[in-house]
This record gives sequence, C-alpha cells and structure tokens, in this order.
Amino acid sequence: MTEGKRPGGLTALAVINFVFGGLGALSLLGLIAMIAIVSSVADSEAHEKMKEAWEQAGGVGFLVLIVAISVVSTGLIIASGVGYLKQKKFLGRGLGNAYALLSIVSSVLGSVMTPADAGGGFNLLRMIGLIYPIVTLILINTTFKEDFVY
Amino acid sequence: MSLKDLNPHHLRLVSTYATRYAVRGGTGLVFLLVVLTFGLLAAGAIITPVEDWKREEEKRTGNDIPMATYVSRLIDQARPAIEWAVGDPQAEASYADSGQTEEVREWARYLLDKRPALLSAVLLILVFAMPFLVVTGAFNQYSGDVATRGIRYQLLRTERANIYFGRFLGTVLYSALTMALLVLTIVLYMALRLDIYSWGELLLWGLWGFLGLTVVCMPYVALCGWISGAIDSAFGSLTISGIIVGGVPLFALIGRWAWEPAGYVNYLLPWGLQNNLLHFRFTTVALAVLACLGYTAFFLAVGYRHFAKRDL
Repeated sequence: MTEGKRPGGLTALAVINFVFGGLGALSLLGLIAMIAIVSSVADSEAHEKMKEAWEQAGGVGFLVLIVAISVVSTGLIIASGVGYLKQKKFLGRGLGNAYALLSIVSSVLGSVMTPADAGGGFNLLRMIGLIYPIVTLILINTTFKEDFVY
Repeated sequence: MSLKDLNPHHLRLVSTYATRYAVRGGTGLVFLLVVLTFGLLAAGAIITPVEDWKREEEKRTGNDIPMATYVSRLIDQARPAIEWAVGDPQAEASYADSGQTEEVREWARYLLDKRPALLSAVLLILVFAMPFLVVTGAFNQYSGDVATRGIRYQLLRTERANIYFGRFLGTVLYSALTMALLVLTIVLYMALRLDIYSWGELLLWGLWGFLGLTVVCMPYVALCGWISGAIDSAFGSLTISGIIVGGVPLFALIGRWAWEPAGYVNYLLPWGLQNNLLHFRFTTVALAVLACLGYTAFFLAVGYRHFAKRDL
C-alpha cells in the first residue's frame, strides 16, 4: 500500500483507541474503588452475598489481577493508537495485536472466573466487549496489514 | 450521461471495490462497530433479563425450571408493548385492553406465539433502528471523494452512472453483510444458550428478519446517496441525512397531536410501513417490499439525475 498515505479506517481505529483508552482509565478508578469496598465489607451482613461470591472467585487478589490487566490493556490501547497514526510496525501493529489478544483472553477469563451473581458468565452483553478487540485483530492483520511501513 | 452508459462489468467492479474497501475508508468500520454494538445491546436487553430471572428463581426454589416457562410469562407481559410497537401508538389503551385492532392483535400473536418471541422482539427493535444506523454507513458514498477531487480519476475510466449505482450497490451489500453477521450472532446465541427454540425455527425467522432488514436499508442508502451526491461535504451529508431520517417521524409524531393527517408525513420515507416486513400476511409483506423498492428507485432516480449533471 501507499507509504505515508494513511487510510481513513486506520485513523478511525486510532481515534476509537484513544476514546476507549480514556474510558478504560476512568473505569480503573471504579475498579480500585470496588477493591476498597470489597475489602471493607468483612463485618457487614448486608453484603455477605457479594462478599461470598467474590471470595469464591478469588477475593481481593482476583480484583487486583483485574486492575493489573486493565492498566496494561489501557496502556496498550493508547500506545497502539499512536502507532496507528504513525503507521509504525511494532508500536501500531505489534501493540495492537497485543492489546486485542490480551483483551480477548481477559474477557474470556473474566466471564469464566467471575461468579454470575457478580456479573460473570458468558452472555450477550459480555460479547459486546469482544467486538472491538476481534475487529482490531482482523483489520490490522488483513485490511491494514500493508499500511504499517515505518 | 444516461442509464445507457451502465456497464455491468464496470458496475460489478465499482460495487465490489466499494464493498471490500468500505472499512479502509473509516465509514464502514464505524458502521460495523455501531451496528454490532447496538444490535447486541438490543438483544442483550431482551434476553439477559430472562437469563437473570431464571438464575434467581432456580437459586430461590432449588428447582431447574425450563427457560420456556419464563419466556411464556414474559410474553404475556410483553404482548401490549408489542401491540403498541406494531399498531397505532396513539390508540387509547386501558389496563386490560391495548386499544388496538384485531389485526394488530393477530400480528402480535404471530410474532410472539408462532415465531420465536425473543427474536421477534429483537428484530422489531432492529427494524426501527436500522434507518438511523444506515446513515452512519451510507452518508459518504460520494461527498468525500468529490470534495478531494479523487472522483475525477474514476471519471477518466468509467461513466457517472456506473460510479453512482455501483457505489450504491456496494454500500447495500456491505450493509447486508454487516446485518447478516449481527443476526447470525444473535441466532447462534439463542440456539446454543437458550433451550427454547429449535435451530430450524431460529434460522428461518432469522433469515426472514435479515432479508427484511436488507430491504429496509435500501431506501435509506439511496436517500443518503442522493444527499451525498448533491453536496461536497461528508459531514454536511451526515448531518442532513440524519436530520431527514430522524426528523420525518418526529415531525409526524408531533404534527399528529395538532392535526391528525400530519401523521401521513411518515410516508415520505418508509417509516410508515417498514414494520410490515414482519407482518403475518404474505401480501402485506410483499406490498411493503414493493413499496421499499419503489422508494429506493425514486431516491436513486432523483439522486442520479442531480449527480449526472453536477460539476465534479
């Protein structure tokens, strides 16, 4: 494909990456708040059901793992967005693939390990979270494969 | 520049190029993401509460209750809403009576009892939303290339008619492929996760719904093509297309409060009859299909007439 001429679709992917990256950063704050809540419900009978569900999934340690994955995923999506704009092979296509694969794996693991009472399980709403990583994985390895030239 | 310039080989080339490279331009990518996200959200809004309901009841009672039991309870509660969606939204309803005609009630029974009810509800939402979604994928058929003068390179090689109708066909085909992916995903999910309907029922009704959605999108793609071919700004094309597609039913709804015949403004676009594509009577469906094709032909004719004469 033409060097230096970035297709509109790649620009669109980059913009969407930045939007999702920003939203991901905000959701990290929510996750951290959730860790604080779960840690503090030890003596509350009203939250016994939620606490029991999370402890079955792995407790606070599981939440910390989710936060770590979210941090890495957010970093990858923003960095790959920059890579798409600059049409860099590693920064764009490499990190884009890494983000997509990490996102898919973490989504599948999350649906398996999270109790249904806490929003786990595989359902249509969780599939929505898989749309963008799968579309990214397909597009940067097929349609836009030749556009990463630097 | 007339329709005699149409060359099937050039049409095929232009349309397949438009379909294959829709995503490269960005418009197709946004359309794909918007359709899949909205479609799965709509399906999730219908199906997920049933799954949650079942899980809670099983936990409470300790019994494994069939999903069909919950769906049948849901159908009884949803029947008035479906009758409202396919009938007259301003009918005077009471607690015990939706106020709709017997034909509308028969239609609701067809959608809820004779066809997979959950899939019918999802298809009704998609038929309603498809015009808005199509605008995001069809607003830039020509305006971007005209603005950048890139279309002149194509004009050296083929006639305007082939470009105009080829890109229309390409956009319709790409929209159809996207909707096929969405409907197939929803049908597969229902068949694998919900133990209510048979594969045959779901695939047949899903196929019917997909064909209906494709027919619904054609007039709106043609309308967006008309606007896109008339102005040089892609953003302007998106704005005007969105205003027209959304403004017509809004004007009809508001106008009807003041003056009953204002409701007929809906028929300026297929808003007034697109639900008929899911009707229980085949003749009504056939008339709706013919009407949508008529709208498509009209918008294509008017749009091409302007595109053929304008300075590119």
